[in-house]
Amino acid sequence: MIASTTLAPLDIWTLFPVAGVIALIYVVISPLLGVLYALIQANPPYRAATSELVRGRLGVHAHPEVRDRAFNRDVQPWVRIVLKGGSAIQGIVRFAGLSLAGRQPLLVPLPGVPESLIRLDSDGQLLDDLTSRAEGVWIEIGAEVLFVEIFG
Amino acid sequence: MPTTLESALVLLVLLAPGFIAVRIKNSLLPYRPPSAFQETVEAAILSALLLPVWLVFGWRSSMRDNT
Repeated sequence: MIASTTLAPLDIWTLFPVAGVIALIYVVISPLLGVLYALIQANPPYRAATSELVRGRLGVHAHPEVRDRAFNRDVQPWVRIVLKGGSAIQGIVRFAGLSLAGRQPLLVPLPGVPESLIRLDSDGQLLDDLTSRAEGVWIEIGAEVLFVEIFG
Repeated sequence: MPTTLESALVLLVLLAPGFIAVRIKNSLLPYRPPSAFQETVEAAILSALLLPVWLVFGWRSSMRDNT
């Protein structure tokens, strides 16, 4: 790096390589590192291997959570998510996040089928038909959810 | 010996790329915001990962200056 041992002013041209290194790290390498980290966090490469290893050791019935067992399949089930107070939302599970940090199923309508994504009141009567209006409903399974009925 | 101010500035220059990387990662995964503590730890780790890059370029530059 640059080290001045005299009181003579530095030649400005000697600063260019240092500026180049800083620019390279700040403008190129750091963003690339961020993108790489995002890719790793979004698709953990160790998850599949670890899952295979753990499930192989413990048996096919061992899953991190029951939710994984319920939604980790090719054909997603029809579910009714019953909220506190008795109202409910019903639809097809399109995605069910398997992260331990959040339980976030995305319910979608069945294409061409009316009343396939609906809200129900506490008596089980149709409150709102979201089929034609919404592409999907994203729900956070938390304290407001009493239980989830799975219809397969 | 570097003064406290110089040390702080060097630390700032070394840590900043880690924060840049973490902020870019967070912008790509907006649905999974980390806590401030987690973000700081991630930035420190990523900055540490970049230390060899600083050392390599610093070493190359010093070799060039000596010749």
